[in-house]
Amino acid sequence: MSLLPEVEHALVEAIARPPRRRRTRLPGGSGVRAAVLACVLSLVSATALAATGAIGVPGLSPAPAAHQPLPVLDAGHTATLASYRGRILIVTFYASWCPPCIRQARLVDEQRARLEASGRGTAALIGYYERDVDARRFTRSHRLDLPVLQDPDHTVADAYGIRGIPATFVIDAYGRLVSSSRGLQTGATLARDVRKAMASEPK
Amino acid sequence: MEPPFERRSDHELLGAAADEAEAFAVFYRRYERLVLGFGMLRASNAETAADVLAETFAAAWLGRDRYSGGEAGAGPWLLGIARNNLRMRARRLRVERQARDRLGVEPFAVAHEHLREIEAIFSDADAWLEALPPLQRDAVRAHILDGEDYLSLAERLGVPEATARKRVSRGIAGLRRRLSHEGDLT
Repeated sequence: MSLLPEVEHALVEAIARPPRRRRTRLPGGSGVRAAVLACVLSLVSATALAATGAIGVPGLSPAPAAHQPLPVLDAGHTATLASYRGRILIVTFYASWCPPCIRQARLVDEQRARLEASGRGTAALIGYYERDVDARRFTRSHRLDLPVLQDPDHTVADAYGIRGIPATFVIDAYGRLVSSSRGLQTGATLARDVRKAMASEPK
Repeated sequence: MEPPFERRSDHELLGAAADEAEAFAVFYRRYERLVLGFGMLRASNAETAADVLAETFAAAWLGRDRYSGGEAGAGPWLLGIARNNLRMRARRLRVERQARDRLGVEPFAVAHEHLREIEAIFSDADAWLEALPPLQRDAVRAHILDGEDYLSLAERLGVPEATARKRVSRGIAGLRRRLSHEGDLT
């Protein structure tokens, strides 16, 4: 079942929100209240599960800001992180002035090639306060075959709590955040995170 | 013809970064070890030092227009950012942990290989500070590590503020020279 992204987003946000302290009083006795609550909960969880595949899976949460449209550099369109659903996605926040980001982007590009060859996933860079001209120069001069998603309002960076770069996230095919890593990784640690994303897929 | 970035002053590099990010990359390499060394001196912890490095340069990139230059170079300015970052860190980590717990998101992981490198290179950061001439060492310790402002430092030492500033900047320059010759960072 495919829901409108806005509806899906609202459901995920609603479920991720902490419980309110003030209790909502429902009409009727305790039996009626329990029945109404059970109906609402089952409806919401079933819809959200269908929408994200994320709820109810211990340890994995929906990737934040999944529906934020991000301009794809030089592609003439936008993409959302949710638009990669069905594939594993590695995203790295980077900036071209950051030397460790070069190493990290190369590692991510190697993993992208493997993931795309197997048809299991892909990878992208997200510019952190990055100008188009710098992003273009960065991918060209380091021969990276990675799309750059621009985050002009820093909405996605803020949602992921980015204050330093590089920072890398692996999202599984169901839009669940499998790993968060800050700083330069090694090839082995990134490969381990990708394996984790593969293992989280249903058999 | 403009000189290569490597030969330009900090002020020139930060000015050039408005058009070319590579200028800031040169600035980053120039001060990377100093900021890491500061993180190790203040926190004695490679993970904190690595965070301070990443966050200090991200903040410096965003605030590069606020650097006003001066013969001391950008060392004191950068370490001021790093010190503020460390001061806010405990509170910020607590808020972050609460948010992550609420959402069930795992904490950030850091590659231990790189932390071991930082520990190996910077484990003697204290000794490098101790090796500075005593007047510079005390000024760096008071201003950079303990956050004493220049005016109060000058009054306490009984010297003009300009002298206090000079001791700090010379101490930082000496520390940076020493740190730039230690080990290889990936």
